[in-house]
Amino acid sequence: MPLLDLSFEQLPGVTVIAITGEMDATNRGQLESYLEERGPDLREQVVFDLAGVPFMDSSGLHVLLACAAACDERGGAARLAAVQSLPARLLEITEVVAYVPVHPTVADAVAAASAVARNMTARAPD
Amino acid sequence: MRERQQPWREADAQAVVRSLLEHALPALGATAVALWATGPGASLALAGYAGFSGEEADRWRHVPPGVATPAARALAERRLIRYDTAPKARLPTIGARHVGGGRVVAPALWGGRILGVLEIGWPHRLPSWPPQTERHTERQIEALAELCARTLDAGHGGRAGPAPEGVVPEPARAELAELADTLPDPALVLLPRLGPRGGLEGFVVEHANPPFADASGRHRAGLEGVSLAEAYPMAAGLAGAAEEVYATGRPARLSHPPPGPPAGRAELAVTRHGVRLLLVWRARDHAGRLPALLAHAQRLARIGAFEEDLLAGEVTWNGEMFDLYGLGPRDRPFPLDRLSDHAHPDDAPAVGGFLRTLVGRRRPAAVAFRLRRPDGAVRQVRVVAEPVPGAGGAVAGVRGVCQDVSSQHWTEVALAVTRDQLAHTERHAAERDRLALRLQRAIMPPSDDAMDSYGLHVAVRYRPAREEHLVGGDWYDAFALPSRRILLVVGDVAGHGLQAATGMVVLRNALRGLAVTGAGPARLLAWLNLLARHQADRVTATVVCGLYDPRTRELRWARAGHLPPLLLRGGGGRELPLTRGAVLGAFRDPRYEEGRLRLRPDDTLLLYTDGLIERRNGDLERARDRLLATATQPAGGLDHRLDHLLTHCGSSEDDDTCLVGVHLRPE
Repeated sequence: MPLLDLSFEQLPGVTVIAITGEMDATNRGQLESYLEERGPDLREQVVFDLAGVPFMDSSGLHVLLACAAACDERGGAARLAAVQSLPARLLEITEVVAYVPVHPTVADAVAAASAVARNMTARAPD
Repeated sequence: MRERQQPWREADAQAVVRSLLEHALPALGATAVALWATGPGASLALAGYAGFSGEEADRWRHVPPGVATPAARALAERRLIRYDTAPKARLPTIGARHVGGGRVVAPALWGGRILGVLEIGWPHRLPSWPPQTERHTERQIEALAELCARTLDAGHGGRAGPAPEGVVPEPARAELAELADTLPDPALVLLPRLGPRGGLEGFVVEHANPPFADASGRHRAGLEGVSLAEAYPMAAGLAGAAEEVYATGRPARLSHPPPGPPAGRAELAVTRHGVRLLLVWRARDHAGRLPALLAHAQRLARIGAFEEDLLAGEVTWNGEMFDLYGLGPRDRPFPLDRLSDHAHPDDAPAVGGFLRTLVGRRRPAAVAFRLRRPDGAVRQVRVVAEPVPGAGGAVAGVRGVCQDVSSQHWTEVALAVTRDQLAHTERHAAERDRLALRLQRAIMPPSDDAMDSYGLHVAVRYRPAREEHLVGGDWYDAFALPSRRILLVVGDVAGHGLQAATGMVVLRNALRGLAVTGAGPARLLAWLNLLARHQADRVTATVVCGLYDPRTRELRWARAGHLPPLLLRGGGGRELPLTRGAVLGAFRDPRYEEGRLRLRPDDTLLLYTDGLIERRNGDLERARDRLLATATQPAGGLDHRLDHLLTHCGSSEDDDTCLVGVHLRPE
C-alpha cells in the first residue's frame, strides 16, 4: 500500500499541510487519521500543498472536500496550492475550482490565507 | 329508500355479480357474492348480489357510515381481508345465517378510487391454499373487484373507464372553485391525473383561491395547472393524504401538514367532491411544523415522521409511520417511551440509551434496532429524533423521523459476509470477480429489455476492480418512468467497501424516487446534493443523469462533477460539453446546468465512470481521445461495442468501471 508523505507547518492563523504521493483509496484512511490527529484548527485557514501529488482520485478528493466543508462550518477555509495537471483536471471536472480557492504556488496561498487570518484577528474582540 | 340517484346502473352491477357467481366463484368453492358501492361519508349501498336471499338483500340495502362490517373494514384499510371462518357477531354482514362460512372482502379500486367493495362468501371454512396459490387467488379476487369497480364507475358521465390523461367531466369545476374562493383560508382544488391504464399518477392543481400563497411566495397564477408533486416535491405527506382521501372518500385532517404550501398554517383538511379534492389550510397559534430538512428526507426515502407533545401527551404520525410499524390507519400511534416494547429484546438497551439522550440530556439522538411488527415481521429501522424546546429550557416535545433500513441493512450484511469469505479463503481471482459482480448485480438488476419497445437498445456493463476484492461505489440505472421518459444514470461514490456501497444504494434509490416527480435532471441533481450532504457520513459522489423522451427523441441531461456522456454519430464521436455541475455532497448550493440534445436514429450515447480511461499516466485529453477512437470502431451491435470498450480501454486493475450504452434503432 503506497503511503503518503505528510508534513505539517503552523504559521500564525494558517496551517500548511504538504502531501506527497498518489492520493487514492489505498491511502485515504492514512490522510484522514493524520488530519484527525494533527487536528488543524478548522476555525482558521488550512492550505494543502499538493506540489508532490501527481495523481488524485475521488477518494483523495473526498478527504480534501470533507476538510474544506468542516472548515467552512466553523468559520475557517481550506485552500489548495501548486496543483499538478492531472489533479487539476479532476478539480475542474468536479467543479471544485468554483468553490474552493486554488492558488498557483504555496506562497500565494499562504499570502492570501494570512491576509484573511490577520483580518479575522483584527476583528476579533479579544 | 334512497337519498339520491346512484351513479351506477343497477342492471349492470347485478349482471356482473351473477356472472361472477356462475363463472368465477365455483373454482374457488364460493357460493355467494355481494357488491357494495361506496357512498357519501364512506357509507355503503348494496349494488348487486347473488347467492344471498332477496330478503337479506333488502335488509342490507344501505349501511350507514360508522357501522363496522367486513366490507367497511376493507374500505377503511384499503386492502383485501380474509375471514377464515364466519366473521364474529360484532362484524355483522349480509347473509351470515345462510352462508355461514369464511368471507373475503376486497376493495374495488378503479382509477385510484375505491368505488366499492366486493364480498365473497363460502358455505364452509375458507380452504387453506398453499402460499403460492393463496397469493394467486388473492390477486384473482382483486382483479374481479376491479372488474366490479368499472361497472360502478360506468355511471360517471357514461364513460367505460377512467378518462385518459386527466380529462374529466366539467360540472363540478366551477362550483368547487367558487366555494374555495369564498373561504378566508388558503385553499387548493386538485384534479386527479390518471394514467393510460387507469392508475392514479398524481394530482394537478386546478384552482388556488385568492388567500393562497405558499412558503416560497408563489401565488395562484404560478400554480394552476402544475402537478402537486412538481409544485411541492418535498411534501410527501400531502400527496399521501390526497391519495388516501381520493381513494376512500373519507375526509382527513392533518394536524401537522408538511411545509412548502402555506407557511405558518398548521392544520390541513382534505375532502373529496366528486373526482376533485379540496385542501384547506387553517391557522393554529402554536405552529409545530417539522423542519424543512425532515420533510426533505421524508420525501426522498419514504420516511416516517412523528411528533410527540410531551405536555399534552399527543402523538402524531404520518402515514408512512403506520406502514412502517405494520399498523392500520385506525390504530393509535404509540408514544416513544413505549418503543422498547416493540423492539427486539436484544436491542432494548440501545433504545433505552437513545431515549435517555433525547429526553434526559435533551440532545438529538439516533438509534438502529430490530422492530417487531404485529404481523410477526422483523424490520431493521433507524430512528433519528430531536427534542423540541419549550418554556424555561424544558423539553416540550420530541420530533423525528423513522426509516426502514432493512434493504440497506441486508446489503451491508451481504457485503460483510462476502468480505469475510474472501478474507478467509484463497480463491481464484475469477471467483472473486464473480462474487463482486453478483453483489453488484443484486443491487443493480440488469437493464430491462423492455426498453426495446421505446425504440432504444440499452446495454450496461459493470467490471469490478481486481485490487480491492470489494464492490465499489459505481452504479448505473436505466429505468422507464411513469411519464414514459427513460432515466439514464451513471454514478460513482468515492471510496470502496461497505460505506461506498451503502452510499450508492441510498443515492440510486433516491434518484429513482425523485425522478418520478417529473422534475428535470438539473433539479434532480440539486436534490441529490442535498441528500448527499445530509447523510450521517457525508458522501462525495459524481453522477451524470439523463432523461430521454422517446416521443421527441430529446435528451435532457445534467452532470454533477462527472465526465459528460459521449455521443457516437455517423461513424464519428464527441464528448458532450462540460456543463456547470459540482460534485455531490460537497457544496451548499451548487448550480446544475441542463444540457439538451436531439438524438437521431442510429445514434449511440455512452455514459461511463472514469475506470474506463487510463488516468495515472499521460493526460486525460489523450486518454479520452483513445476512448473515442475505440468507441467509434465498427462493432456488431451495442453489446459488442461495450465489450470491446471494456477489453481495450481503461486501467482495469485499479478501479471499478460502469458503462451504459444507449442505441437508437436505425430508421
